[in-house]
Amino acid sequence: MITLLTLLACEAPDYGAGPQVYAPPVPHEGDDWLFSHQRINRIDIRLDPDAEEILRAERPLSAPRNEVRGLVEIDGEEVGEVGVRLRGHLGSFRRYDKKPKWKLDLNEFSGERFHGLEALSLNNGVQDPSMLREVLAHEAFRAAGLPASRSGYAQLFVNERDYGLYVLLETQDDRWLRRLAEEGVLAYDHGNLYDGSYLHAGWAPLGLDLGTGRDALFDLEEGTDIDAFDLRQVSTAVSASMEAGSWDPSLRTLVDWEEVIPFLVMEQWVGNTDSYRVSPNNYKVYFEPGGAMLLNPWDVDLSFGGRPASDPRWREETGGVLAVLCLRDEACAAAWASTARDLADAMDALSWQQRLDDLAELSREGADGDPRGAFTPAQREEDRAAVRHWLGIVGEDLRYLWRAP
Amino acid sequence: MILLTLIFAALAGPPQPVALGFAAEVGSKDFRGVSAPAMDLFTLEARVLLSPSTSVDLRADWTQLFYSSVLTSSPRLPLLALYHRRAPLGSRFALGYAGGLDLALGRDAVVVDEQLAHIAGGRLAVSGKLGVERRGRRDRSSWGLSLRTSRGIAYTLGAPALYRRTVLEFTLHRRVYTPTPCDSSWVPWGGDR
Repeated sequence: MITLLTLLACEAPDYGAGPQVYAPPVPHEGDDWLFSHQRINRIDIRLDPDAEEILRAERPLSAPRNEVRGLVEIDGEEVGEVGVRLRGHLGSFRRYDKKPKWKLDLNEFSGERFHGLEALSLNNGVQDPSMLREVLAHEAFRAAGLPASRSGYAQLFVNERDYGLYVLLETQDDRWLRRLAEEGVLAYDHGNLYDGSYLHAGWAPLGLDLGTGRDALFDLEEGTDIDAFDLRQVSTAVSASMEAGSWDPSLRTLVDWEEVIPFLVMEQWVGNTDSYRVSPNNYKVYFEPGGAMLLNPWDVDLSFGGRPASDPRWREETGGVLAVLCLRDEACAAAWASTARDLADAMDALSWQQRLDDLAELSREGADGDPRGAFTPAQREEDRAAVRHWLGIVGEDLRYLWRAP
Repeated sequence: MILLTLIFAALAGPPQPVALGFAAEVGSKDFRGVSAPAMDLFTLEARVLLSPSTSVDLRADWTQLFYSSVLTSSPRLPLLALYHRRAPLGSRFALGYAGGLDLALGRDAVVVDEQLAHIAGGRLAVSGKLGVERRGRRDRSSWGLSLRTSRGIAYTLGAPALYRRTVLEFTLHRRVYTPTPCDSSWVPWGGDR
């Protein structure tokens, strides 16, 4: 009996294979082919048994995550030996033998970038039945002129086992900052980028927000280590403002409100309930050299659901402290309202329904036939309909909720 | 870290020397300088009565064992063993004090030479408790309020760290066995009856 239980515990389940939805290789110039919405990439990871055992031991709150060596091939091109680790926490983490989220550190061992990329993130869509929410949300932030990641799709194979369809996300790193600076979204590319994802204190989730004493909890991902001096300035101003009940004068210049307000509006437009505005969670903080702070989104797979854009709580003084402070300040609240109306109009002018249809067409077969997927084709179709409905009414919801007095 | 612990237990008396109960701890703990919620909801407590005024209290927390096993690669079984004495302060009040060990037994999954290995982990701390206990009418129940504190070392992934924990405990015991006036073997708080 014990032997049988041991075998049952250790044997990797056989999920079989889904349909082959990846496209034939294309010429690899730049990295646009990777973050394309016209094709699905094929990614192969090869891991030796020791590496598999290490990844198999990972749990939702294991820290720090173990990185193993793996051989990776993307769209038929050998990348070589890369760092492979699992991602995610309580919501989206899945064990190695199921459908985990991955991060590929492409230059971890070779020191060489792959078409300029340092890393790639593969999101499993376990909270995104249609596999459209995350892609569309990032596209929406980009369409609003805010810093966000490009996305694509990939069918993943690990040691020849089909892991199904993944959302491929552009990792937010120095190259991402450089791209945004080249496109004019950012003024400079060599500022400090901090991760503001939630932490787990033991196993209790701890939403990470700006405030005195919390600066050391933000991880510096890119830039220069200045002992979080830039964060500390903002945190001090934020705490002083909250304590005084009115804005500390420095808050107006330390935070780039012209960027932060559209960011807050777009979190409502995409309806992300696991966001800075609500949790706060899933955001990054960027300081341009000598400049003010701005926020950008990360992990937006819970978008287009949960809290409707018409929900009055979007206007209440809850959630992220910057949102609370903005709503308490008459001028900031007025700017927020007018930005919401303007962005609602601007986004309505874009063909979101057509984009959804194109992405659904591209991803439907892979998502519906995913051998490790957690949803039935009917559930996925229902989710596509829900996202479509959201896109149809969100503009009107925003204009109504933020209507001029 | 400060938590409020509530213990509900069936109190034993002769001829039942072992009491069983449940403890729940809720409160906040310090996490890298920030206050974070803490909850241990399914703690099993056994109280072994050595005499009417002394007992050994054993506590094992299922919450931490379950969640550390499921959510982390560092499973832990927390155990608390206290030698508990009561000194009478009057006919119905007693000073309760205890000392013992606050332990956590477990292991950590670590990578050594690019291979998975398991090393021992856990904590070793001394724990002390001081409080007031009050007996109810006709010895059917008792309650107590005490402060327990632990100091020691915790090991995670081979790295030692200071372990500190302070708990305000509220205990409520209800006796399953009711002594009769003729029962000479039961003398609450060590002999004031």
